[in-house]
Amino acid sequence: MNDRCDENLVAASRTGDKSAYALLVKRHYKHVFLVCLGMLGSVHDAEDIAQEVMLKGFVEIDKLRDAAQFGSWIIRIAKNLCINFIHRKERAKKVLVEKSTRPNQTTTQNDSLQLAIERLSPETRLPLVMYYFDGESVKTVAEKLNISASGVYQKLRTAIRELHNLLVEQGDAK
Amino acid sequence: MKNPCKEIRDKAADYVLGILSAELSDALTEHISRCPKCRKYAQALQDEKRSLVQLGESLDRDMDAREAKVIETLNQSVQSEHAKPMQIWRKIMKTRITKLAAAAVIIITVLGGINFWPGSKENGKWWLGPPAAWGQEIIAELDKVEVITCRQRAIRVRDYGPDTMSGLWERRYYAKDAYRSDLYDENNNIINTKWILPDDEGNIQHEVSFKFECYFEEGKKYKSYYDDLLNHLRRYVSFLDRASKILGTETFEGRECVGFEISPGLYGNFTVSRPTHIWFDVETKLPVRTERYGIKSDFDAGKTLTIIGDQFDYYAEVPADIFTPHIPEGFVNAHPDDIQDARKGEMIFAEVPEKLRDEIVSALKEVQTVAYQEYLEWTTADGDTHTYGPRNMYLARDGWREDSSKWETPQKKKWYLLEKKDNDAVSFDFNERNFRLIETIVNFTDKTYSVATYKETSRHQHPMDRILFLAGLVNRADRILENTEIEGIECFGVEVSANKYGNNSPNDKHLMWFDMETKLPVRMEFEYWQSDGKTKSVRVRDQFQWDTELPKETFKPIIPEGFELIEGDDK
Repeated sequence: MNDRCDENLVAASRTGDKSAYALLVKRHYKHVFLVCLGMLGSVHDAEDIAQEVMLKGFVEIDKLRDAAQFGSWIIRIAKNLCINFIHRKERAKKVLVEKSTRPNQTTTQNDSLQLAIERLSPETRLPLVMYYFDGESVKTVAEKLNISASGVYQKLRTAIRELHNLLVEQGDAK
Repeated sequence: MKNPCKEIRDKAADYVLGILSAELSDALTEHISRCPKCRKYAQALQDEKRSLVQLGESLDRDMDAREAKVIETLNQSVQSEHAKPMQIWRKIMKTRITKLAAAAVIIITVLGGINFWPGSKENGKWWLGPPAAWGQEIIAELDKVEVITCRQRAIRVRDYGPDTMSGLWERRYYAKDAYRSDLYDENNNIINTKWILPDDEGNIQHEVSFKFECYFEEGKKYKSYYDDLLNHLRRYVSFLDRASKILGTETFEGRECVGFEISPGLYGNFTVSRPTHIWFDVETKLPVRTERYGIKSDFDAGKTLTIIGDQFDYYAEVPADIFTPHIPEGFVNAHPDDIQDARKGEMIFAEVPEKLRDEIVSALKEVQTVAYQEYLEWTTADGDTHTYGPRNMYLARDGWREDSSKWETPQKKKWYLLEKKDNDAVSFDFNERNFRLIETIVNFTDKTYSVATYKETSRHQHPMDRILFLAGLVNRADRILENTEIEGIECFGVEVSANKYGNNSPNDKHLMWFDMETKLPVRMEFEYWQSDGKTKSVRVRDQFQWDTELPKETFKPIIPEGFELIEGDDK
């Protein structure tokens, strides 16, 4: 049953089989989480939204037309929920006084790196996350983002430099 | 930091990305060698890249826990747009009064031929039906069992190198109020027998050690509870409707079995991931195998244990006196630990800071690569000292290389490449696990080389596994050495007698020094005496370069031209 393809698992999930859907979660969660991380920047937010995505996928599994396309369907849900989340957050920001994002003195090296990633511009962050955290090749990143390979390199190059500047600004780079 | 030269900024980023041409790389290297600003910048980018990779790995490590949380939430709260029979079942079953009525409804539904539970009629695959229904059936069957016997074994799952099956194994016997376990070594010689039996005051443990020819009794401590297999099985079965995945079917001991994985969060307050797999005989529906993962070893820092329970016999015909303690003639009344301690000599324990071992072990577990050297210093009774070696070691997660030389002449080069199949999928019987260790040895003395593939992986321990084990001994140190500087690094050190593990002599000892800052080993010595009692040998590991960048070629065997292929060792 481990070798069951997405199609069979989707079919079983449609009958309410949670153990089948759990297998789909195991297969696709990481990718969903990293897309959320790439779009939102914060691990905490990415965890929340990725969970929402996977649960929504189960509730709405009947709406998936082509069962073999579960992978790309769930990523689309992820992207939509992330966009909604960003809008919600921006609206909230307008009401609240924006908090300073400067780290306090007690942050660890990982915290400040995460903070710097959070502060990266979203268009450079997603390729960076896909490339470094999801282990995807430049070619795959290019295909998934629908840009050229040289475009991906340009974004990665910018991301590396931006990240360094942010770390310097935070006082974390030597 | 002052800005780097403008033309360097892009190049440094490209260099980090690995897309700079060789020519431009050389130009960059040349430039940074004379421009401190750019050197600092390039170094910072390189460090940041490393941190990114590490952050990626740390995110990856938590991925299972995140997934498990999603699955748990899924199981607890979410209903899909369809009505879910399992949810209905749970809701109904929540009240005791409705249990009977619900059972009646199901019986009627099934008799009436309505396919209430999708999949339940699929070619006799009962496990696709609602666990709540067939689970009750299994529990009822388990309740009837008088005596159950099983075998228990442990697999050592290592951070580095292949997993190995422990030679020790147990035969366990469980009755309703009595328990016995016989522990055997790899040659099936009995080591000890343990009974836990009820008494007026509670449960009493009786133990006979054949190894130390002694016996003892211990009461009260085990007053109310012991590891009752039937209880465990009942509990696992009752959690099945929340199992995180079905593992599919496998053949164990000639029987077709279906397996389920149960997440740890469902049956305890474990913060670490310790899933359990349980396998049922497709025919009898009874559990035939359990696998408990991720059990930490207090002793060996480099491994966790997977405990396998199998050979379940529910209708075991056991001799009438199996639960009656029997003490062989001549055995003394003492605890085996006391006898062992007496044989080993007195052990001294220094006061080692509580968290030190954890810090050292976690620093070592983060390591991806290391290069160091090993050599042997030999001092004879006359005081002459000789050095043998060195052997240069290059270690990565999935392989290592040993270059040995003598009097500065290369002797041998050995490459070990480990192919370890992802064990995350189904856990097969141990022997079927897909490990392959490919060994290539080039011998410069007689100009030969050999290639061998090992499936029996216990012969070659990953050197890092040994380092982890030794470093993990710090909390058993005899004394803490004075802080010192080695190779320009501020170090703290410990001395550990070798009798703290195995059956070693108290005269042999380990001396280990660790970097104050990173907590990684800087120098490790093992001092031991040859059997003549006069010659002292010291095996030294030093010049550690932790997480150094080892080019891919390091692990690619190179056979010099003209060398002759000879037969490798037995496979």
